[in-house]
Amino acid sequence: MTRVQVSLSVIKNYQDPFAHSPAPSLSLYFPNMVALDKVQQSNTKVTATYPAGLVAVFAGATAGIGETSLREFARHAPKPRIYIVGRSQEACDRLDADLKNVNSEGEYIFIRSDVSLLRNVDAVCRQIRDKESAINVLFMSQGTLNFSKREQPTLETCARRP
Amino acid sequence: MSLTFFGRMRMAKNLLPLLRRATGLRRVVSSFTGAREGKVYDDDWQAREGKVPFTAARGHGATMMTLGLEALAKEAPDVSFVHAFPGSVDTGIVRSGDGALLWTLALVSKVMFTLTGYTPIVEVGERHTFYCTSARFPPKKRADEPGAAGVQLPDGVSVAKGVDGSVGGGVYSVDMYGESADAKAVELLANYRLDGTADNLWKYTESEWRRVTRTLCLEE
Repeated sequence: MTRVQVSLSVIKNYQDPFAHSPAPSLSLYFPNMVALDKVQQSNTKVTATYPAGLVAVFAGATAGIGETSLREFARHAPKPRIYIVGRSQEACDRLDADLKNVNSEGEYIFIRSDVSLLRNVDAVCRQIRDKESAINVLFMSQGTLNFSKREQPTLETCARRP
Repeated sequence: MSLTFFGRMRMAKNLLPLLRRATGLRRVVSSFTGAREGKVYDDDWQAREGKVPFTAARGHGATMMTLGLEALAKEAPDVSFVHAFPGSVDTGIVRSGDGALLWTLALVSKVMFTLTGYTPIVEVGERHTFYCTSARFPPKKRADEPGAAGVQLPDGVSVAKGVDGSVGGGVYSVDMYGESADAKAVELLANYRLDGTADNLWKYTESEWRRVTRTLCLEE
């Protein structure tokens, strides 16, 4: 391997020993922030506030921020029906099993698609529209930083991709 | 980053009629760079012509997202829109196939966050669920249906200030603690509304949609 490749693999494999440190409590310094216990309090009241059967669309929920948001939303919503739009089949399968544990009364519908392409955005929305006349929540966390030199996607190349 | 903007706006625009037909909760949450609005470079919206300095990229993107959500809110004042900032999260946003620059940045961030601590991933999910459901983020036009107001505010938590500076304005840009964007950001956005930049962004967005897909959005 070249030196660059070795350095890159060192960087990629770096295991952060403090990956799970909680953030320091800043509510002393920022009194206007919404404290976590208030957030949690509010979330426990979601079932009492909304009728069963909230319909939500989560795009980008097969990783990271979207995934945790989806999980917590599913946990607190009363019998939700959630459309989950993501690229990875493996992540969809994993999420499906996970969500059934988090809230077994929810209905989880997976739509595999790369919605960085406008054409795919339309196709996904068409699918959802065919099944639902109304949705309550649209949650979007799709889109990553992609500075790879190999391929600079533009809207046109995105449209032309098969 | 601009692909994020055009794609998300298109998705929201397509699904807006469905959101408007909902009873009770009607909410759009875009987790991106809330409360980080900065100067926009309106001669290089997609930041592809080298006119957006690297250090200004986040502010440029954040303003675009917020202004875009505002344009949608104009069409649908009965829906509320939250532009959120997730905080420092170890999510593997940098994935295989990304370039060396991004990996170096990721390493630098990891070193920084080792000192300051990450926000635990469950907390991020809980905060975003809060953005989806709380009465802190009502739409501009409030309906009387059950659930329309949102989950009752806990003690000490008030309705958020919108990006137009008004409480309960309908479009919100919040930082990692759910706190609304500061006065500087509000002023910046107000100027962009006044001088036509906000309108230009939306016209540009629509023209890009038409150029690439021949349509403005999904026909109803």
